[in-house]
Amino acid sequence: MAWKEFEYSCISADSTLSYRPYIRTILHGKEALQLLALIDSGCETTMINIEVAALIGIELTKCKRVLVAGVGKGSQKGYQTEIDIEIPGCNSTFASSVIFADIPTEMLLGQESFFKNFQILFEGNENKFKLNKITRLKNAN
Amino acid sequence: MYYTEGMKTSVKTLIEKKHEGKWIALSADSNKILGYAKDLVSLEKKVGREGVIFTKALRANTSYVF
Repeated sequence: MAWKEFEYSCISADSTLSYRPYIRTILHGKEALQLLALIDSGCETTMINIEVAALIGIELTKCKRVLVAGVGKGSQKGYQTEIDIEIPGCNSTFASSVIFADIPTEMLLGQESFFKNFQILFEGNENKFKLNKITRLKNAN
Repeated sequence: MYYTEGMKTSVKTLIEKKHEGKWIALSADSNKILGYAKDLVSLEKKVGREGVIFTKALRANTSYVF
């Protein structure tokens, strides 16, 4: 698979906020929904805003309850499950563990599983990033 | 070999102060804001989801750590 190049975006009217590596995703629960997502290497698991759950048919009461902690004090409740995430720009779909929680943005693509499925090259100086879907060999150890 | 794909028009040029902290529905080419609302469910009811990309505008004068 070849590397694909994407442009950074700024989802704010505030000119002091920097451009960031957002990418279009399609979330596949019982229903599908297109959502922008920020690629975030500091995020352990892929996080999705809790408001999205209802729109893709995820019943939070059936999800595993976990705690989510960031830089602030304390932690908050999150709901963990597995969904398929499609990256249309790479013609790629992969299963991912995700946590639905009350976060200030729409979605964060974290280490589990986005960074396990793609090589990622950030070129912040040019407001660009590149993705290469990792193809695993069947007999690889 | 590299392929360029993504939002050709900066979403930044579309977003205004009234959108801060709100859910936004973008057209499939990200060139137009189809609607915005405080919560995602009511926005989806208003604009539908066919060919719509949802996002959430960040607040001004706020430093985010994700």
